[in-house]
Amino acid sequence: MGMQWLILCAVVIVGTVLSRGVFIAPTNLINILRQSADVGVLAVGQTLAIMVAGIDLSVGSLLALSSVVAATLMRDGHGIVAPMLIAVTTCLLFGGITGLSTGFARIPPFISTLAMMGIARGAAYTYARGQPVYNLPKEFLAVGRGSIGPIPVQVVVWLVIVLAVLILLERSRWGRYILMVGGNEEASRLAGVNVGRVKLLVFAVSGLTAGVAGIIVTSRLNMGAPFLGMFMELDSITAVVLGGTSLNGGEGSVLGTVAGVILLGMMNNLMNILNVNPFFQQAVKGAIMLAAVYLNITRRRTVVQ
Amino acid sequence: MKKLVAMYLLMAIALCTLMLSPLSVAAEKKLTIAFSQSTMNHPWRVSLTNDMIYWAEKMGVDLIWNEGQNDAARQLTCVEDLIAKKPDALIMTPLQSKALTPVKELCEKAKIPLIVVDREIVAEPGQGMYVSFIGEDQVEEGRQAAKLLVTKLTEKYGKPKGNVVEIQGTIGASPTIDRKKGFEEVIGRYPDIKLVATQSGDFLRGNAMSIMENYLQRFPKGQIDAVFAHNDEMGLGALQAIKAAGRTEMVGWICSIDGQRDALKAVLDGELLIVVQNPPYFGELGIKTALAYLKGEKVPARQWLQFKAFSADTPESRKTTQEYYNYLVANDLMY
Repeated sequence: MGMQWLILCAVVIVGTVLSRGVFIAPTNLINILRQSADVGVLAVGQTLAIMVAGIDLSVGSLLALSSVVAATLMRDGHGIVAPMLIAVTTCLLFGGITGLSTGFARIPPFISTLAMMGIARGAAYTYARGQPVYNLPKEFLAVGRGSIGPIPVQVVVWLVIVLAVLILLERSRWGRYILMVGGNEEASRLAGVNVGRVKLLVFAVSGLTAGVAGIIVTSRLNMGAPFLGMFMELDSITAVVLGGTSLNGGEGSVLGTVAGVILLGMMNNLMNILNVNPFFQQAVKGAIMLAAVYLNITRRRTVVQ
Repeated sequence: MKKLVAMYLLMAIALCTLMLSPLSVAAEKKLTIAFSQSTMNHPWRVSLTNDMIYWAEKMGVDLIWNEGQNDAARQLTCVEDLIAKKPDALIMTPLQSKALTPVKELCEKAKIPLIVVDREIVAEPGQGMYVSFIGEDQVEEGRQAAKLLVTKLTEKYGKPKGNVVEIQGTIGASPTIDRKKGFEEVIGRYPDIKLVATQSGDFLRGNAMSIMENYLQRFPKGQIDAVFAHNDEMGLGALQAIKAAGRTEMVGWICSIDGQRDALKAVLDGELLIVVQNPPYFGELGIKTALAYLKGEKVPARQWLQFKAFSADTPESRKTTQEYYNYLVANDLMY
């Protein structure tokens, strides 16, 4: 079991004691999952990007693009399913462009995704003329607000995506290739792996997950807006790192990322519940992050030794 | 070959940019007013810019404008670009007070009258080329939200009493500080009205929704009476959380500030208690002030934009709210 799960348990115990039981209430735990689903979906794609020794800075902007495309088409009366599909496909294609520029034009991912961060954000603002879109169809709101049994719909979506990527990583040769490319790009090229194609796949998937996250946020807020998702790329990277994936690539775990996302969600939730001074919250978050990553690193060192 | 393609691409991009930018053909002597926006990342800012453009056209002046992309240093550069085009006057809405104070010096040097709107710079208006400041009294906005809440709580309990939770704007931003100050000033007069929790939602709907969900966990039914959100987006986010959690006793007990269209709708539907307006409409007063100064008239050093408060508490207030809402719908305006 990874260190992140132990930290998670510690947070749960401390949180329960400090909040006199409010924190552990089932409704609150469901709350945390519901609030984490959007970052959770983003972080799945981010995990892949970081596994190939890359990073995806464009996911927050792609989320906004997905949001305005879906919301505008819905407002204009094109139903629900088609707008969702078009929005997600758009993000998949934008992710594909990043994949091409990273995988084949060999532009470093930090730069290519930084460029895409600007392109997608600009596209979202232009498409929506800078304004949010309100009044979405009632049936669409079920995505972000409805639930299946006690589990919110967006949490189910998150689980499905996690499972799909787990299968991709564990059961297909692409999973091996992703880790190989992340571990040693040149060696995998010599071993006959088509590195460009692996990166194309990774960034396209990251675009896709960003698109899905955009749909979730839009439905939850009942609003599509070009300014959504700012700094969410950072949240997703934080979650991946908290989850034990190394920024050097070549290793990592999607389930670890899930733990990282929940840890982030719990910290936010707990600080609200305990009414921690907002001035101080960011510092607390930073400190917990440092501690968590440090524990992860020291543990990895001992394992290696 | 690759280089050739790259060159053609660059040329194509350059050409497109040229075609998109309005070529300023030397026309008849029309006054040019420059407008420096701080950021366009919020609908309120977009509405402010649109209003500037609208009034410039209506009053027959040329408007050149750009935006600082939410970065004070960048806005300063943008102002320099605008001044280089030698406009007849400059209207600026600074991102931050201190960082954009040097604009006054730039205007003194270039002999261009400066009008600052919304946020202030660190200089006294009415001196030198700094002609006028047009602002909004955000402390008063906070006070007005609190006043109606006190009345309603008094009705509920027979005396001013109750627990209020707050969702702040971006910490350290002047609207957050001022709105909080005004609200607390009024609430502070009643020892039995308590602010039991305060968190920052960064003016964003999604954050406020999460914060409210967490508040509802911490405070079961009967422990809190009302919500004060520093803007409508957050007020509406809190409302969504309240409705989703089935806490109907809190519906209609939310106060917020800004006056955007769907918030007015929520007031009319009895879901928000009060929405205090913080209009982005600096266009008319801003450009009129500039034109008046250029004609040699004396203009007031400090001017305040009027604002309304929208509630549905009394038949008259409901009528005002309904009328303004209809006006927004008819003109497809956000605020």
